[in-house]
Amino acid sequence: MSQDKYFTGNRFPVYILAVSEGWEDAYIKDKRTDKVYYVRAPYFKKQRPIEENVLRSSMAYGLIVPEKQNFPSLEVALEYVKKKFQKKEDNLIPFEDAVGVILDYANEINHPLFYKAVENFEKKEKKLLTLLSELEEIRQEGVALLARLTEGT
Amino acid sequence: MKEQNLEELVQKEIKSTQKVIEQLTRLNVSSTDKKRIQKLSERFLQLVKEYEEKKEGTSD
Repeated sequence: MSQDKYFTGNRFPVYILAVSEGWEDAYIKDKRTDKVYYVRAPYFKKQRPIEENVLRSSMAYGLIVPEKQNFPSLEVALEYVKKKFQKKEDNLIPFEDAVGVILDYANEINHPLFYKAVENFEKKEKKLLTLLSELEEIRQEGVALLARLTEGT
Repeated sequence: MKEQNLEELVQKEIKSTQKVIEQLTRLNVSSTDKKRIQKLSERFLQLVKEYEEKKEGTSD
């Protein structure tokens, strides 16, 4: 992968180096220090792909740690980062920002995972639209029935 | 349309439909109409049940 993409968010600028197949992991490089970090989504019970969590507007934070780690919970991970670096904020970037950059990058390099993320979103959107239309249909039937049954009362 | 907006629309529609169903079930009507109302109510409850189950399945 090329290293010409970097993030200039409000925490610190990074290059996206690689993204794992399941979207749970990514390697990024701190543009200021050239240090490579491993980023992973906080532990989720069902281990869903990252894009689903992003689409659910997760408020979780992404974690940047110098090596691959598995954390039992976000709290444990935060504690790890805190202890490891002593300065919590400098070593964290918002999870959504990190994943957002990964998604942008996947789109830019035409990576199929980007399309998978879009496809998943569209599927969910379609289901919600179908549900909405079915609910509207029931309500309209109900309103018509109500009008007929209360006519003249 | 954003997913969050869609979720909000679905929630609003559930509330509106629920109100209509409640109004209908309070009416003193013939057995034929009662059956119609019951069917409508069952369709509604089934949709809501499926929606809630899916929601639970995608949140931790």
